[in-house]
Amino acid sequence: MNRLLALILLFGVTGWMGTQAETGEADLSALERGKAIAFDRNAGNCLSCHMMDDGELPGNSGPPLIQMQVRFPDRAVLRQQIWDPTIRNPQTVMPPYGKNLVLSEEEIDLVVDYVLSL
Amino acid sequence: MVRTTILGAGLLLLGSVSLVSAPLASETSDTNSGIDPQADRQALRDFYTQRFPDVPLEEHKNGVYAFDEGAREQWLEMEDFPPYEIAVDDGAELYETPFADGKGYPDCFGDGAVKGRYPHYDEVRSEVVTLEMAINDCRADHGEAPLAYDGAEITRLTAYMAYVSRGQIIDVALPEGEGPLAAYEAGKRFYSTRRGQLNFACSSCHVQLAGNRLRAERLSASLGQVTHWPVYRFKWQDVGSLHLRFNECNSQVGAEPFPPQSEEYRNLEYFLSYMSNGLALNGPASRK
Amino acid sequence: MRTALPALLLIALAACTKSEVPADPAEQARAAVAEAEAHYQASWEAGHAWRATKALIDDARAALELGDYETAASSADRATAMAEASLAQAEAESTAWRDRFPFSS
Repeated sequence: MNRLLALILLFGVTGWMGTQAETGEADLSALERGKAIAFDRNAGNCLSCHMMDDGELPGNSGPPLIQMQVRFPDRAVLRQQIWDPTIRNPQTVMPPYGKNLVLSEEEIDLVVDYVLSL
Repeated sequence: MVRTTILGAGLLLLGSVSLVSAPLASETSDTNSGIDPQADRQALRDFYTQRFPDVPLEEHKNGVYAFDEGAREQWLEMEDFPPYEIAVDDGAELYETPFADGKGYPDCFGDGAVKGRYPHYDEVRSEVVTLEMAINDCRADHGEAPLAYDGAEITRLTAYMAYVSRGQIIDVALPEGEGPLAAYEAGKRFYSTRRGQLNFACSSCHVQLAGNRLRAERLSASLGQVTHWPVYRFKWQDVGSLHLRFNECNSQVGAEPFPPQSEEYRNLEYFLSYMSNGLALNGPASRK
Repeated sequence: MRTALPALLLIALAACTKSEVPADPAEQARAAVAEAEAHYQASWEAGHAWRATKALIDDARAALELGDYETAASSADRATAMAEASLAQAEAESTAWRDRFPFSS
């Protein structure tokens, strides 16, 4: 029963975020959308801690995001690291973007694909 | 162990993380028996000595300007014409203005140089008393309505009182006995508890990441965080209290903040003040 | 610490009403908002309320006023999920905070 509710909820949530992302952004490629989410201060805000791509004034609290495909040959591992990094390191300061619903599941997929392109 | 579980190239971050995660707490009981403020304070001081080997601990009263050379220069230039000066002048006038009964703040606080006495744990009231509370107590004693804790008037009064209290050394009495230890522990717990959608504790930024940059901003150390209030913050375009800054920090990590002078924030101020024992009061100050 | 018990009872009540969900979209949306509010209240009482949860509930209420029941229900459902995540944070932090400091105790 609980699981069913959670499922309904999950579909409701992704459906809602889906419509949000689709409007007005359909012209952007998936990678560009991923980058926009990663750079947005009210979404990923990755530049707070990570040097990445052409982002200006990055923070230095996390590792630079380079050679990501070498570091994360398994996409699922990177996805989990963004979804909830405290699984791998309970003391990390990186926010659990999926677990705490900072980003939708679809947005996380877009960010993962973009980060893997770095 | 932590080191090996993280991103391969994450050593920059991990160096700091493994440092703080090393002494894992084993104590889980809620009694006061395991609470040792003296040991906590020493451990925190040792931590910052290691983290900032070139910065004397007392210097952290200047926040990030203790270790950020570039920002320090700008700040010192700003201090030539201190933006909090008007608040101090206004505060002096308010301080000298008599109440309706002919008495005034000087009847409660003398020359006003009393900031070093706060916060403290009041055994009779069984709670932490701050300077702001004492101001409203004084008003109540003389039949005056309390000032709003987030209003301009009380911040101007504290700006003046901080100014005349400059140089006093923070010397919060060692928390002993049930009440003080519980308040201390509540403050320590608040500082160490992850909050908000972004899942940050105060200590995430100001212990684990102290000295690092978030975007272009350096993160200050916990030591010295209470010495210099109220602060003229350019972001606020006004002077604001320590509790307003607590409120802002909580909001920034996505947490619903607590009101100024709430029990949560008073206990936090008490804990942080004890940690800063030995540092000189240097308020009001200016910050970006 | 505040006790979350009264709010948890509210959630239980909301859950009961939800089990007899009416087919009417307006009623469904109203029930979803009520459930989100009860969860938010519980997170607040646990000292772990999130601003994003509150913002979604405000969105849901506004949509309800406008008769946009679909948006109201989806915002409310997301708010409920967020409040559950913040309650999980409160639960985890009730012990985890002790491991976080370079402190001795």
